Amino acid sequence: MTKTLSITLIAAVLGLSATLPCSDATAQAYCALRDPVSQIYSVCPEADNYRSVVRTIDESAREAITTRVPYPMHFTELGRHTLYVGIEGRRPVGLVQARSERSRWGLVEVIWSFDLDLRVADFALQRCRARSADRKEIESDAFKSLVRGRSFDELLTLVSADGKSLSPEVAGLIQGDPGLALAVLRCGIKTVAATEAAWSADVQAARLWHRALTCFPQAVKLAPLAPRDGSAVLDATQAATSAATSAVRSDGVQMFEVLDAAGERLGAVVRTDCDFGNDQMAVWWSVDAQGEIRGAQTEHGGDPLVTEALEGLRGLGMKEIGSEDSCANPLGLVAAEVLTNVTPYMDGE
Amino acid sequence: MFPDSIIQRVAALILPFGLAVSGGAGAFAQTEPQDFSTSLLEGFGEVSEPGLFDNLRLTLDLSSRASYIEANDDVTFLQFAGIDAHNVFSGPGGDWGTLVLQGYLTRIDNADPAPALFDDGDDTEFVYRIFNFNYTGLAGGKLNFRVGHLEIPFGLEHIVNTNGTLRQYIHPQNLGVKADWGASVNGYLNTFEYEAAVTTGTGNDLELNNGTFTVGGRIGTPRDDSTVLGLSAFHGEVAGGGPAGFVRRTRVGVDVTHTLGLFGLKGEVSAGRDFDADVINSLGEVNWRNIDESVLLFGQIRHFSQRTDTWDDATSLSLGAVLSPDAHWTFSAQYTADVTRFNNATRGSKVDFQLRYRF
Repeated sequence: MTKTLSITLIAAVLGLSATLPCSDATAQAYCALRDPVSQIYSVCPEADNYRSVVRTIDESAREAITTRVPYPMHFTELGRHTLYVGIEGRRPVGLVQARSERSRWGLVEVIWSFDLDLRVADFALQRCRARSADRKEIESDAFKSLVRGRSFDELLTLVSADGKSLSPEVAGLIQGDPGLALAVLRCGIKTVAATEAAWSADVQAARLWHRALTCFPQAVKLAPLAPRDGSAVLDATQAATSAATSAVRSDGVQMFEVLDAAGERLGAVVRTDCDFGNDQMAVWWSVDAQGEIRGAQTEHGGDPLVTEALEGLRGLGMKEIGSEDSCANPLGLVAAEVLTNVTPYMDGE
Repeated sequence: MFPDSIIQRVAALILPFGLAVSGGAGAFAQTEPQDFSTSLLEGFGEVSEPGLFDNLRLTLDLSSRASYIEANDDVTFLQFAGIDAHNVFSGPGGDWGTLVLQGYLTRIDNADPAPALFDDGDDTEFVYRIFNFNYTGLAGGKLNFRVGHLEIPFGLEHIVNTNGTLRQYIHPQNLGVKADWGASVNGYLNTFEYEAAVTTGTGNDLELNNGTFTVGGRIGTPRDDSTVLGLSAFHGEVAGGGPAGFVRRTRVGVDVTHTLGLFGLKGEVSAGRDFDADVINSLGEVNWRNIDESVLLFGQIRHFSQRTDTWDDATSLSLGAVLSPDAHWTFSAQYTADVTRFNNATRGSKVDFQLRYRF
């Protein structure tokens, strides 16, 4: 009787498992999960705390990743995983993620940190069974300087097209086990792809809060603002700047008002998608309640001259920007149209 | 019309581009609007919190185990069906808590003798594995407070997950209890991690007024390092066994883990007393994993020794294999044989098979 019951239970386990969806599970029990606490602070030193954001790497995310990354994912990389947002006070300052990659000595677990533009800031080997000398070489400043500051596309240049070997540039630098260097680089490439596939909205929110809290430290709430109708913005911008053309389309603009604890409006943060012919970029703008630009940065860094030019807009309002000189260049026009979009809200509309 | 400085600053905008504004439709890309995560959008502010369970992991965990025991020449069955839930609570200033809930309906059949947890050899019990809340909001993970059903922080068991697996270390035999109701302080610092707990000494059942208790703690180097060293201490009166209804145990121990490529070595030794009897217990393990870590092979030796008037000891060997072909299935097998037993009792052996599915 009892054996019959046990066999029945076994059959039930098998039958149930065959009928239920299974995308989020992991073979490892959750009591074994540990945040890489000390590593988070090590690779993201400006953070004084962190926030966990758990998302699912499902089949669609895996497909998105493997179309960009020329090597497979390990089954442990599917399921629920954590992105750690490093914060200083409440301001996001970096992103940290732990990810594993195959190596000849088993899975290497790497703790990666990125800036909010998803460029490598640092990494640390958390779990690595390679020889001590090989590990030291990978953890050296010489190797780390090779990957720091690199975006996804720039990391890809460090490995061969199929991801199975190091690029000649890197291979020439490695004196020890090239397999460990390759595993770490493959891991970094995959981590960026995974972050963009599963956490893109969260990364955008972190960028938004970074901009808001950088310019308005008292900010405690962000509320979406509806971009104005494109033709109305065009008319208003033309009226204010005498510009002959417009550079704004409402579907390329996202605006958020920034509020303090009392609900007072501190300003606005605006993200604009820009296309200057051969140059496409996203630009973040911070505008205070007086309608002056408090900050402007491109989303992914880039040309230092652009950064410098955007910095030159700090402190300007519509009155200063609305000159023929400023509107003869693309960024000036974008700034004018951002202000045209935002100012009515700042005026209490 | 405008001050020169402003004109110069604005003029600088022209330099990087050297291009004219595209006519007509304008210069903004007509791209898809970027998505902004609602939870984080709300979560980084203080006015509205993110959903409490945005970070939830939830898995149904089913296992079936069959054990052939040579002495009985019969098979014992053990079934587990439970929920494995994990959630990290997060707020504007950072994570502030972790909840782990693992409750399992556990059925045993044809067991002789019945394990202490069960009333007889054919019984069903609800078993708490890890069932606790860890408050982490005080110091960014460096000083946390845990309350609930927690693993006694001692030895290798503290850093290796063995709940519901055939591969076990020596907590139950050494301390008399593996997980218990209580509270702890714990945290991770740059070069070491620690946990110290006070518990009821009652194991699976929460009983506050029966006079039992335990105090235990472990401090060690980070568990993911290639070489891990830990020091542990324990004292308690653990429910069950003996005429007093409890056993007074005191232990100090050391554990070490070292990896050599795909091989791993683990060892634990502890010394102390059960009432007035001297005790020295130890475990050694050699393990091997394949490259993608879907296969684990291990061999263990356990040695328990006790002295009242003279030393007596028991030694056993285990060989085991774990196959994890994907994120859901785990197949395990283990063979255990006695080398010596206390009081020169007849030696025996045991073979276990386990099938586990998580979804």
